[in-house]
Amino acid sequence: MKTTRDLETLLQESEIAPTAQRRVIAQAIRDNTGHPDAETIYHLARQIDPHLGIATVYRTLKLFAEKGLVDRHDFGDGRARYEVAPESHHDHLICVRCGTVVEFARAQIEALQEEVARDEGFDLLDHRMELYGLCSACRGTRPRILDPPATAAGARLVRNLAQLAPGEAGRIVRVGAAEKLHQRLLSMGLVVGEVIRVERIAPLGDPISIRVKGTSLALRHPEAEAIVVEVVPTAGGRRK
Amino acid sequence: MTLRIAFAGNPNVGKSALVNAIAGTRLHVGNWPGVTVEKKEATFTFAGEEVRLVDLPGTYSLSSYSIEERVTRDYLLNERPDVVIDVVDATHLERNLFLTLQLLELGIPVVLALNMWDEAKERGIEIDTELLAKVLEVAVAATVATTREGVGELLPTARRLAAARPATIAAHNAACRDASLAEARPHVARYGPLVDPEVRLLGEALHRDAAALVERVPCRWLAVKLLEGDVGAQALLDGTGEGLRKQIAEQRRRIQTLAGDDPATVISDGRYGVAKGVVAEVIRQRPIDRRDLTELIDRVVLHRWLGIPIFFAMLWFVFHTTFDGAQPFVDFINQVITGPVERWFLVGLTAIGAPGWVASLVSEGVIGGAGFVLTFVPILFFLYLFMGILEGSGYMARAAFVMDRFFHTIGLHGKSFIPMILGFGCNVPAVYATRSLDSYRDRVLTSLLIPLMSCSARLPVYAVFVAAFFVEWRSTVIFSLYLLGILLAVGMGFLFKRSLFRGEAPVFVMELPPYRFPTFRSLMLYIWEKLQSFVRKAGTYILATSVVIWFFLNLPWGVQNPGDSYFGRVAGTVAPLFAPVGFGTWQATGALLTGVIAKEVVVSTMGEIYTPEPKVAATPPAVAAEIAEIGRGFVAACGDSVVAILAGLRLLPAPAQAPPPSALAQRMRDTFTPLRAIAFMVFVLTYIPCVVTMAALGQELGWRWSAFAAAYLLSLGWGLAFLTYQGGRLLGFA
Repeated sequence: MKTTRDLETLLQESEIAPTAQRRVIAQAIRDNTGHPDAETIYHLARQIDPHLGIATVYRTLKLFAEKGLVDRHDFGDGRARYEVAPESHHDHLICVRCGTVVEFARAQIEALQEEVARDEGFDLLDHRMELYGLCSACRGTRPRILDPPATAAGARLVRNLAQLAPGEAGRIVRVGAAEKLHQRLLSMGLVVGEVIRVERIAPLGDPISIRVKGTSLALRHPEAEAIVVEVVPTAGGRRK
Repeated sequence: MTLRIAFAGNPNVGKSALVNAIAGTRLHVGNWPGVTVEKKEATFTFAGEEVRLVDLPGTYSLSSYSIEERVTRDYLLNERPDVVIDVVDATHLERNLFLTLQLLELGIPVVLALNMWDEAKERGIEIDTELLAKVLEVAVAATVATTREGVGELLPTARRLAAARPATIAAHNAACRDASLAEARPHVARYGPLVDPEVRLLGEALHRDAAALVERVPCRWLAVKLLEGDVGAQALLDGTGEGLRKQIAEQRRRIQTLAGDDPATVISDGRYGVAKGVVAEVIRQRPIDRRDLTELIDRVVLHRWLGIPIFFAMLWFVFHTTFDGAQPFVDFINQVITGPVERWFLVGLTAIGAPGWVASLVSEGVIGGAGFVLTFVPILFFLYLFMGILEGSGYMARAAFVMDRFFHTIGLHGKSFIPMILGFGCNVPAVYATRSLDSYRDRVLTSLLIPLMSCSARLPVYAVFVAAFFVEWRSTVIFSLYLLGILLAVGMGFLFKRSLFRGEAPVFVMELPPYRFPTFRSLMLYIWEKLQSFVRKAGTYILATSVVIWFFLNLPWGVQNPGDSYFGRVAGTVAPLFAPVGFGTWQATGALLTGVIAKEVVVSTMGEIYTPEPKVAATPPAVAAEIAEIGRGFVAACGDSVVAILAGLRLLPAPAQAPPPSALAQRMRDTFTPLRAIAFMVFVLTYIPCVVTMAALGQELGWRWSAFAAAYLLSLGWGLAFLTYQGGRLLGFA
């Protein structure tokens, strides 16, 4: 259900000054068939313009969302996902295990929703409906925490850092540490969206050393457990 | 006008090396008031102007969660230097900029020193320094601290910058209030359309409701920190109205709701966003095929099976070389001090007609005390040499990584291992070695346990008793004492962790820096700083103690028998306290009292008390010949040191050992029983650390901890000796 309107028109309609960077980012979103997150958009946009910074992407995405050019979805996985605002309304089915998003539209549901709003004396302006569950592929699989690393494109595998084997990498989804530790981790580069790699485990099993922003950090297990990552496939990744 | 320059930067970026390269031996090393974070300062004249340098502790951020962070920000806020030289690692620009962006918010002109420029070049990293300077509105200098490349530019650049843009708060705040100007200044970190308006809003509120505060503290920095929820920034608000606090809480909630994440994260994200953007603009990374040496070394040094053996081998080497290598120099210094130097003083004093007691005071109190201090210098020299190499090369962090699991269980840090092991040689360098620990809590805890490591000075005491009572079980007895010390340390570690340091779980997030070669110059400067501070600080106390003890031993005037001196009387008075533990005689107590100066003195005091020797009269010296002799002695000591080190490595046969004293053994069998001997040895193992260790503890942790250590060890020692003696009696031993 992707729009075919050209970018120029899109930006103009949304009253956004069409700078070069904005065009690139809009194009990246439009060319993606799914619901990409900011990081993905950043990588896509960088293929078009390698000088683009992630800060620009974030800023631009916020602008687009404010102006209604894109829809911002929060599917509960800690990342905002974007899609070009569709001309016709649709709802979403989200798989909690692999993150697959399915779009659907049912006239009965829309009608029913409007009816509910009317009965409550609401003047309905906008709505979103997101249904969470297991997709057909994930049905009957074990919980993801015990799964082997995902290899299928688009599949997500969430673990805490202490569960990764040496050589495995992950993108930080959440840093769940208490204030003091949290500040320290932030200042050392452990921020959401950052890709980190487990280098090795100490001979006695603890601490572990990880690679972040080009430096090696040693963390103990309790600290590592506070960091939730989404496993990203690596060439050198191996399991015990 | 003095130009005040502060050096700031992340740890492991070569900041100290850079400061050393500029200030060198002019650096004065001390502590920041109230905390044991090292403060290095230097004041000198540069191109006709007085310059004062301050080396701030290495930090990753300007929040207030570690001592280093607090010291750094308090200095920058309260002292407001004219320029900050921000030392960044050119190979890790992005992460380093996280701190830089916070420094920029303070409104103090910043010189960015892109250190390790050579390494960056090797790695194919090209940084457009002109663009970087323009983007961040700072001055940029490429430096290599180790070769001093580019270092000479720093001071002139800093001076130019300070003159062009004075670091007044008024100027900064004016610029900050003018929103349009702030918009036009790209160097001010931006946090996106969500946070920026909140910062501006709070900035305005601060100008309105906390005008006095904003005159002292840059408003933008304060606003950002308050939105982050920083504890230190909140403390600054004391005395301002409740309305301000409410507004901050409300604004924080707004960010939380809109961004779906806590404000600190959102703001940090914003900072990294800017850092990433800046790096993307100014860095060209040439692809380069380069084997990472650090990774190769780590593969071996941190290997699952090899890691621990390598660590112990390294430890053994350091331990052995420090103590065996230093011993010939210790002997040499002893000989020179007690030989020629003492004689010269005595002759000099006789020549000016000083009375006999002055001569005795000088030779026994002053020269004895000073000589004693100096005998530690060779040991500390070797210790700091190795500590410098271990820290500078980056291995220290690996050692901590390898051993942390083990030490974590008793509430310590992996880095505690090295000080603890050094404690077996001598507690003094061990206490100083705790400097490598990052947190004050770890430093205190480790230092409190170090005296339980049976140092080499306690060995002669055991040796005398063992020779007199337990010849057959010699090694078993001595080994058991060492083991007892270790078990006590583990036990006390548990106890302290659960009592004194409860709830203060230290954060273990440690950087494993890339391996580097420490430069000779930086090593020597490091050793020099430490040694002179030891001699000045600890030395003063030891000398004073030594003189005080001399008076106690020699008063009232003309006392002949040590038992009649004040010292003897004090010993006699406290002796009954030791009756329940098996050695309530004034001789034993007296020996223990002098043992406070140094544990091995227990033996010599016992020797003097039990088998007195007549003093040998001084012969007039031949100064020239003796100076030549001293020179020869030093050369011989160097040779012996090399031999001792090689012998320990089993490359040369070990030199013959001196036989243990035997005349004393006979006399001791008359006054002690085996049970009493064991109780005595247990007491010697644990009781009060020696004066030098106490001075070191005082210097490192403050005098309260030093006194606490003495008190707890004394009670522990007494308790254990009591249990040993009374328990033994119950079992039917005498």
